[in-house]
Amino acid sequence: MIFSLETLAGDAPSIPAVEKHPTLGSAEVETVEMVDGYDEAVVVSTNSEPFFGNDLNDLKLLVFTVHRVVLEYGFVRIDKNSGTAVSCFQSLDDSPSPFSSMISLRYTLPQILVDGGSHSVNLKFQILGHFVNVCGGLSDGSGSSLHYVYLDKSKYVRPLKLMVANGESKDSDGKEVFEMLMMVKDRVALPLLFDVCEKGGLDLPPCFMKLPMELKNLILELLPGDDLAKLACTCSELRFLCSDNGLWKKKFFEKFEEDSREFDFKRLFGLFWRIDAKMKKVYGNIKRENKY
Amino acid sequence: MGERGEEWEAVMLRKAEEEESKAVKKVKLVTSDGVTMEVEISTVKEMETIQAFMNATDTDNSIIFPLPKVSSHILSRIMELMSGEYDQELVKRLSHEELKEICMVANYLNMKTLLHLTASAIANLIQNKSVEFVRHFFNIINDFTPEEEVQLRKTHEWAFEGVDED
Repeated sequence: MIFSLETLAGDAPSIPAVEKHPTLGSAEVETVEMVDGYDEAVVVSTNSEPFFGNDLNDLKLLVFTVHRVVLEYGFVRIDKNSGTAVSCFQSLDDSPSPFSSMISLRYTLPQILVDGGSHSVNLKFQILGHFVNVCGGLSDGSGSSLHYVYLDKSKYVRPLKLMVANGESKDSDGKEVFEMLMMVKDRVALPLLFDVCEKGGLDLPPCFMKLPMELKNLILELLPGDDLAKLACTCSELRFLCSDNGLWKKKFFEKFEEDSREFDFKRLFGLFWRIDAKMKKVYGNIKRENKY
Repeated sequence: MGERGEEWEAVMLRKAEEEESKAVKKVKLVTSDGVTMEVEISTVKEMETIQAFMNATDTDNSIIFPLPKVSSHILSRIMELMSGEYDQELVKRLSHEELKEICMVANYLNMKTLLHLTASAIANLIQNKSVEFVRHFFNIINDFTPEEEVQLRKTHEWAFEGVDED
């Protein structure tokens, strides 16, 4: 997943305008729908919300992140009333009330739109204490159960903000963001994809990526190092999973322990000595650059 | 003659005992689609999650174990694999969806042999393939920018020698 200031800026200015709906209570959130195109008018208010401050901004950041994950799984956002696709630069906020702690978005698959079907899924975000509850299910509420995940704001918001600010992740923060993305993928995005595929009579995409993280790791442990290196080039999730140092240590010994009996250790020592010295020289630079 | 008679008697007795223990200890597995499958206690031995439950409840009678995440189709596939002693040929005949499902069930029921077998089968599908093939085959979305991807391939340059382009 690529975070950058530009992409976020496209969505961030759409913090609801306090001045537009001062009387709406959160009880009305679900029933009132906003007209598209409304969000451009409120760009100004981004940095100057006096009282709902961080809470709502944190919610928006998490909504934006989950939204990106859902798009990654092939969903497109649609307008609740017209059922037509909504451009990605449109506001992520359908809730009209500035006081609302709930955001609701609707998605479907492009293939369903092409076929003229109306199956879709709803994703609701709600602040509950310092958690944000992300809950998804089929829009018509039929058959399937709801899929949800609780995101701990105190845990994930800070690393997410850092990631957005730097445009890339530092290792320590990356871990938390990754953990969050995994939860959203495994518990919400994928089950929703299953539901809507089944409902719309579409073929499910093939396996592997749909496996939970522990099984992906198990499979990766069974692969030789060169395949791990190639997998690291396929997508950011696998890049992360294939970059575990413990995994590579294992691969190193798996591959070279057998050969090591015939190693010329004196020569090897010299080789490593040189590499080591060189690494130390450029160590500062490497640390600052992207690790991968 | 008398000796042989005794021997025979002992064999029959053992058989009867075995028969008896089988009759008592049956496990009923109820799948997500409501199908009940009665399986031998020996079958359940490999399902460590169920075995642990049985040890904890310590019952002599047949027990019912619900498997809300396992369909009857997948469970019967698992039974086939178990009775076929995990033949590689049987694994090759599974669809990718079945393979993935069985892998997840094996993990859930803590069936070590089956988990290793299915995980290896998936690993085999990935091995020696190009980045593009893996992306296409597993429906992986490339979320890198072109610059990022160039950089990544450069970092992993050593691995890109002798790739099957299929």
